[in-house]
Amino acid sequence: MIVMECEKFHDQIIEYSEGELDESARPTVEEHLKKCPQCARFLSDIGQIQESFTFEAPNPGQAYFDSLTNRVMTQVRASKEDTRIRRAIRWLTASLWRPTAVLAPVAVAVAAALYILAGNVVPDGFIGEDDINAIASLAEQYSPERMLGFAPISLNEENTNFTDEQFDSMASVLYASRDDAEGVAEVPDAYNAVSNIDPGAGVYSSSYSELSEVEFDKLHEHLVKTMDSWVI
Amino acid sequence: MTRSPAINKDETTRDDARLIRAFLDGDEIAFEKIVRRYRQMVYFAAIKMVNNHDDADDVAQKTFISAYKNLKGFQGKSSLKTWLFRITMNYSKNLVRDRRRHVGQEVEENTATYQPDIQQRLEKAEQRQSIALALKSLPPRQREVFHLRAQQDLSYAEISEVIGCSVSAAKVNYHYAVKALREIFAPESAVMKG
Repeated sequence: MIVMECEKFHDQIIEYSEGELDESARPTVEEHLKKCPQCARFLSDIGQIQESFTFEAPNPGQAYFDSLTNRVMTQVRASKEDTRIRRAIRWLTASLWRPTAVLAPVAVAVAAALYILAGNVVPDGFIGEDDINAIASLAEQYSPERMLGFAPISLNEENTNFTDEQFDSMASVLYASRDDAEGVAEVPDAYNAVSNIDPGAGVYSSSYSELSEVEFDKLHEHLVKTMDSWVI
Repeated sequence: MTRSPAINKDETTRDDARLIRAFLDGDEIAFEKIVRRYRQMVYFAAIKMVNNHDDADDVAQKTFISAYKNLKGFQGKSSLKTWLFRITMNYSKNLVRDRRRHVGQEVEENTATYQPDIQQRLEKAEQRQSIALALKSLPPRQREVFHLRAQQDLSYAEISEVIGCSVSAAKVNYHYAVKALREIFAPESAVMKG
């Protein structure tokens, strides 16, 4: 029966309609299409079906695609900073478990790092009063006061994932905070953030302390939360 | 419907591999090149799923951010293009699902409905409804393959990578879908099949 025979051609006709039929099979299919109205109709039908489902979305244009690219790149750069901050936080919070490795101004350093890496970098190393206030405020936010009386560790490039420039900026902030806390005290918030902890001994007191696991987790959670609020 | 042959596929794959290596070595510009190379593909794949520019833009951004974060884990089992395509599809499907769930808005996931011109929209409304119903009547795998082939313009090889089946299975599913749709839209002709 001719209809049953036609069915054998249908798969090939679909491929033919897509221009994907093997070269060697084409003459046979074309020959059949010429003499078989049902298959010619099949070809026409599926062509229309394929056509009706084809969807050409309006092209938003070059300017849009450039803008998309720029926005993506801005976000990935921000996420790169995010990764750097996370690494720094991981390192700094992990260090809290080492009794001798806990630094008095660790919280200030963390605050400084977050502050700088959040985009408030001071290119020329100058630390303004606003910067100090902001950093001190951050340090106060997530540092249990007792943390700030811990012993110093060496905070150097090897210990961090910061670039040299970032490290220098962070160090500048750290030293400025220390100077303020040691007596200049023209910035009350910064002074309070560090000196209230151990008013007698000063910032670099070597009174050691360890955080409990709960406190550690709480601090870590707070740090990450603070950081997340800054990241796009 | 004729597709252009993949003449430069090998070259593209080599370029992609080079860009990925450079990116993993820390070259951020390489990633930007990847974005530039695939931004249109990603955007158009998204808009065909989510049906409006703003959502497609959102999906495109998320796709590339996700690619940036996960490129390290890209094993090259599929091409970069289909890898990005899969991410795009996943974000698009999530968005459509969330939209249905939270807004209750009727969205035809597999139907091309984006038309900026209101009159055109009205004129095509009936056709769209028929198309949507027809697509819904297909088994899920056939529907997906048909969408990828007819609407996303993927090759069978790409479809096989995207949904994880053989090339021949992709082709068979597409053929079944086309025949089934023909029976729906031209039942008087299909009757001839006997």
